[in-house]
Amino acid sequence: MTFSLRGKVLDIDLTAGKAREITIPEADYRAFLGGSGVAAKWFYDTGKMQCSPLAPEAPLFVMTGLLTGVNVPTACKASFCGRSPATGIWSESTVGGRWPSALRSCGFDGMIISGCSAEPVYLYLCEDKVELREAGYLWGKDVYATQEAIGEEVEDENLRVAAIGPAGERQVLIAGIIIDGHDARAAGRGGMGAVMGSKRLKAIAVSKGKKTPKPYDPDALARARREAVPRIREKTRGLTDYGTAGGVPVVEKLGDLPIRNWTGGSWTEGAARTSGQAIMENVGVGHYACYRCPIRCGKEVQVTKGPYAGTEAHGPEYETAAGFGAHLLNDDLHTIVSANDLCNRLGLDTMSTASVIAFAMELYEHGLIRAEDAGGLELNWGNGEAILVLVEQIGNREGIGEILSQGVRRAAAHFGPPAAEFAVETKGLEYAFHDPRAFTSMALVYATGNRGACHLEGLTYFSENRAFPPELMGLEPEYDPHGFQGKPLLAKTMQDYMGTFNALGLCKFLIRGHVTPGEVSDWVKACTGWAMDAPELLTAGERIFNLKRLINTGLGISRKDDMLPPRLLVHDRVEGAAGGSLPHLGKMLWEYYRLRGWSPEGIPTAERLEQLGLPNR
Amino acid sequence: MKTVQVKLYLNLRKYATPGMDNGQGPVSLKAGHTAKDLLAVLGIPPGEECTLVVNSRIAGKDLLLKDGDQVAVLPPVSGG
Ligand code: SF4
Repeated sequence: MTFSLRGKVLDIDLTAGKAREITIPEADYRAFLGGSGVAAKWFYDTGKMQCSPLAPEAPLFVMTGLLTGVNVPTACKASFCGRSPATGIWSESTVGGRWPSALRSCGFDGMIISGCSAEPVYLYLCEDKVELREAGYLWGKDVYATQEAIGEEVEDENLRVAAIGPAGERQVLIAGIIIDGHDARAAGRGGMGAVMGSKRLKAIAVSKGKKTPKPYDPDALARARREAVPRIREKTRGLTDYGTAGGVPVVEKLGDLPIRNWTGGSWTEGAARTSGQAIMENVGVGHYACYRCPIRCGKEVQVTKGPYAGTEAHGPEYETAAGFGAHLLNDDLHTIVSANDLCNRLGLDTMSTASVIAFAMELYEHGLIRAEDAGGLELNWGNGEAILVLVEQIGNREGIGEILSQGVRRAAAHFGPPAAEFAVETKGLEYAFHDPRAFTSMALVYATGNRGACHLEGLTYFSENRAFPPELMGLEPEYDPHGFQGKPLLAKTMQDYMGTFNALGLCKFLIRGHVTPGEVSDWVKACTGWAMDAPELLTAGERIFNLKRLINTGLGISRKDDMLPPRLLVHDRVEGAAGGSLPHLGKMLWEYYRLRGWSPEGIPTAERLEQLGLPNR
Repeated sequence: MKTVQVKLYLNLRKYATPGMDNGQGPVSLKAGHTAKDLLAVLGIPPGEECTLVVNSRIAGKDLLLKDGDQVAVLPPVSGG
C-alpha cells in the first residue's frame, strides 16, 4: 500500500467471545474512502440489513475515517453504523474527541461487532491487541463513572473510552454512545447506544498506541496545513470563543430556531439568555478541542442545577441549547446545562430527548397528557424542574419516560391520531434544530437524508446564508432563502460533499473555514499518494450517498418516506424573518430525483448505479 | 435625514459606532440611503459577509430604509 494504511479491522463475535482480524482492500478505501462509507459497503455486502437492529446477529460497525489520527485539520472522527433501532433504516453516528484517533493508533481502522455476550463486557484495545473484559461491575453506572472505573482498572491515565450509560443498557431507542467522559463528545443520533446495550457491550476502551498511519508525502501535507489552518482559525473565531451555541441569537433572528415545538417564529430575549455567550459568561470555565482541531469549539462549564450541581461538565452545543431552550420555551441556561450533563451521564441523544419532551409538552398543553399520566408532573412550557425529571425518566425508562424513550414517532402512535399533528420527525428520526421554512433547501436535506431528519447530511443553511459561500462548490452565489430555485442542485451537491467527511474522519465545521473539495482532495493525495482530485472525491461522496439509499430502499424506503411532517410542510408561522414561508418540497423533489438519477419513486436507476460502480440487485 | 435603530451581532459588533451601546443604537442616514449605504456608514467592507433583517424580514441590500426601521446586521448563520 502507498500510505501506511493497514486496513485492519476487528471482526468481533460477542456470543462466542472471539475476535479475528480482517483486512479491508485498498480498492474499497479508494471507492468509499473509509469511516461510514466503508461501513456502508461492508454492511451492504454482509446482506445483514434485514436483521432486526437489536437482534444479536445485527452488526455494529465502528469505523475511523481514512484520515483519522493523521496530522490533517480535524481528522478526529469515527462513525458507529448499522441499522437503527429507532428508525429501522441505515444509521451512522459520527463522533470526534480523542477516542477515534486513539483507536486508530492501536493499529485498527475499526471493528465489526456482532453477537451478544451472556454477561456484560467491555472491549479493551491496545497496540495490535484486543481483550474482552468482564463489565458486570460497570452495568448501571453512568458514563463518567464508567470511564473512571475502567481507567482505574487499566491503570492508564490517558485511556480513552466510548461508553453507554443506563439508557443504552435499557435499550432506550434514543440512546447514544458517549466518548471521553467529562470532555464528552456524543455519537448521539439513531439509537446506536441501544444496539451496544442489546449486545451487553458496556464500553470500548483504548490505550493510545503508535500505529497511526504515516502520510505518503509529509511535506506536501505540511504545506497544505500551513495554508489552511490560519484561514480556518480566522473564519471560525466565533466557534472558538462561544462554541456552536454562540449562533443561537443569529439563528433566531433568521427564523431558523425551533421555538415551542416548531410553532413560534421569534424569541429574541430567550435566545439571548440561552446563547453561547450567556452560557460562557455565566458558567463557562474553559475550552477544549477534538484531536488535531484548530477550531476548538468544545466548552467546559460549571453545572449549577440538578443532582450534579457543583461539578464541571461539557457545555451545551448549539443543538442542545436550542433543543432544551427555545424548543421547550425554557430560557434558564442553568437548566440547559444540567439537562445536557444528565443526557451525557445517562447516554442519551440530547436532540431526540429534547424533541420528545417538546412533543410531550405540546400534548400536555392540548390535554392529551394530563399531570396524572406524568406522575403528577406539570409539563408546562419552560418548566425546568419537569424537564430535568423527564430526562431522568427517559434515560431510565421510568414513568412516562417508558413511552417517551421510544422517540417521537412511537410515542405519537401510543397517544393516538391527534398526537401525530405534533410529531416532528422524518423516517422516525427527530429533526435537527434548523428550520426548513427558513432555508428551504433544508427541506430536501431532511426529506432525503439517509438516516432521517439529519441536518449534517447537507448543511445547506450554511451555503444559503454564505457561511460556506456556494460558489466555492461551483454553484450559484445567492439563493432566496424562502424560494425553491436552484435548491435541488444545492442539496445534492452538498450531500455528496458532506458524505465524504464522515468517510474521511473530518469535522464538517471545516466548511465554516471555507475548505473546498479541491483542498480536501489535496489532503487525501498527500496522505495516500492516490491521484485523487476534487471530481473523484465528490463522485465518491455521491457513490456513498447512493449506497446508503440502496440499503434503505432494500428496507422499503421510497418517495413516500421522503416527506416532511405537516407542521413543517404546510403550517407557516406568523412572526419572525421566516414568517409566511413554506418549503416547496413537491416541486423541489422531482428535480432533485432527476439530478440524482433516481426514478420518480425515489429509487436509484440501474444506469446511475452502474455509472457509480454500485451493484444493482 | 432619518434615523434607524441598528443591532450588530457577534463579530460584527466591532463595527459599532460611538453612539452605540453593546453594538446597539441609532444610526443617522440621508433620506435616499439604502441597506447597502447603512453598511458603508458603519464601515462594514463589501467583503464582510452579512445578512440584514429589517423589521423582522430578511432584506435585500437595495432596500430603501425608513425612519425608525429596526435593522439587525447578522454574520453568516452559525449553530451546529
Ligand atoms: S470544530 Fe468542534 S466538533 Fe469539530 S473537530 Fe473541532 S472541536 Fe471537534
